[in-house]
Amino acid sequence: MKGRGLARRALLLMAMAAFLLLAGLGSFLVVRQLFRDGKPAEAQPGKLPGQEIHEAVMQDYLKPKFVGELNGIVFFTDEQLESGEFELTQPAACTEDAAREELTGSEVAAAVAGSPLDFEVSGLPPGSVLTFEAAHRCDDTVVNIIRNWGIRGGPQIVVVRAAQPGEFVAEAPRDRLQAATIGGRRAVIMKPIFPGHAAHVYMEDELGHWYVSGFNVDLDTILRIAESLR
Amino acid sequence: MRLVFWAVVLVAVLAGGLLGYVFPEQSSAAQIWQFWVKVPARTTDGDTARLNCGWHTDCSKTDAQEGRYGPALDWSNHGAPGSSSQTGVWLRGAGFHDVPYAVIGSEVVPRFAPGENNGCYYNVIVDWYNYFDGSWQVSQVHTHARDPRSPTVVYYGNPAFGMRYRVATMATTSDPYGCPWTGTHVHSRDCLCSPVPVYANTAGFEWHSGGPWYHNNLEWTHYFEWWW
Repeated sequence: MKGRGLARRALLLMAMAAFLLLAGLGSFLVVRQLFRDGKPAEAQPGKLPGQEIHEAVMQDYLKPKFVGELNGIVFFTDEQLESGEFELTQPAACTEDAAREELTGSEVAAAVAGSPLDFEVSGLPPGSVLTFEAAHRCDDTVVNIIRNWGIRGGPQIVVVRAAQPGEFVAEAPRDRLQAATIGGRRAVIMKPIFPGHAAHVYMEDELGHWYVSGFNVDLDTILRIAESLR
Repeated sequence: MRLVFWAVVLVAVLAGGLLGYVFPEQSSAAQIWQFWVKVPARTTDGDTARLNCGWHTDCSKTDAQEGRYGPALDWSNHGAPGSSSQTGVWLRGAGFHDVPYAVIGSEVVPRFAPGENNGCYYNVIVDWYNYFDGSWQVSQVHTHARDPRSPTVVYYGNPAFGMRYRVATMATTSDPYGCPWTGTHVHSRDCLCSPVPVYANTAGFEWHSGGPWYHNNLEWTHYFEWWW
């Protein structure tokens, strides 16, 4: 009888200890989750941001790309170009016999000095550095200049100026394109699908076309850069 | 007695809570997300692909042969008889996450990117976003490529997930901007602009000995890898 009482007591003590352990452990797990990284956890919305990106890009991808002319800028498809249905207007200096040459890095500055295509830019995101520079020549004539600026893990900007009319591969449906005048030039703005996604400004002037692209940067900054190009 | 017991319970709860506060759970950012990108394989998705150049900046300058090292690989799907019509640019690799049986993901978005990172018009960049918070992770550049394909979700797991997705098409004509082009191939590299560094490796990794991601070819010893 005494033994059974002791056993019951031991069992009770064990249950109490287990309860204590569970209470402490539960509290530990809840609090460490609440303060993950030292901050209270935020409530998760119904859709994950990656899922929102996926749906937005997929929806855009399934729409037909705008092909044709908008504000004087021409959009063609890769297929038209590859099949020969559309022929890209080549710079006047790039005749069949002309020697084409690519210049990169330190070769560019000397090659483009004095070229009417050379340009200046302002309005770049603070901290941006020139990350890439190239130019192409047909014989001795510079036919395009390509410059990139960026910050690692931050905004990435591309500016191209080419001695060719405003003809570009169709990339976006009509609802993401907007005709505009930027810095006195005829332009089409390609808006991003989601904040940070690439956005472009296509422009044309008397010397040829401009292409301004920004990734991981807001559209206003891209428009400001396009406006500043001289 | 009962009061003492509940007092002890309260102490246990407080002590557990205090420990939880002092040792909070680490977020997924502190966990391992690892991805290996390998050159495509297989006939219908590039099995016959060959590396035209080792790690290089400019293949024409034979960087690899001269011992110089660069961030890019050149590969083509024209490696074997009957495969010359293959022009797909494939994302092919495996994603690993260190938590057993947990599956996480990235949203992968290919886009056309003339002049970005290089002097070429035919240029497709594949941007990777964290599926949980939408933050940009990595961008990989495929030069001499066009026709960016649909977005996709890439999974990481433990054991690793193998996968392949078509992200673009190799250009089959010379570049409209005039950048040097030596025939149908793709020049793939990290943009060197990504928030996390991308490593260029030459030692082969063989985490799996079967399935479509397996390759037993000696040319198959180059891969990109990133962690976050």
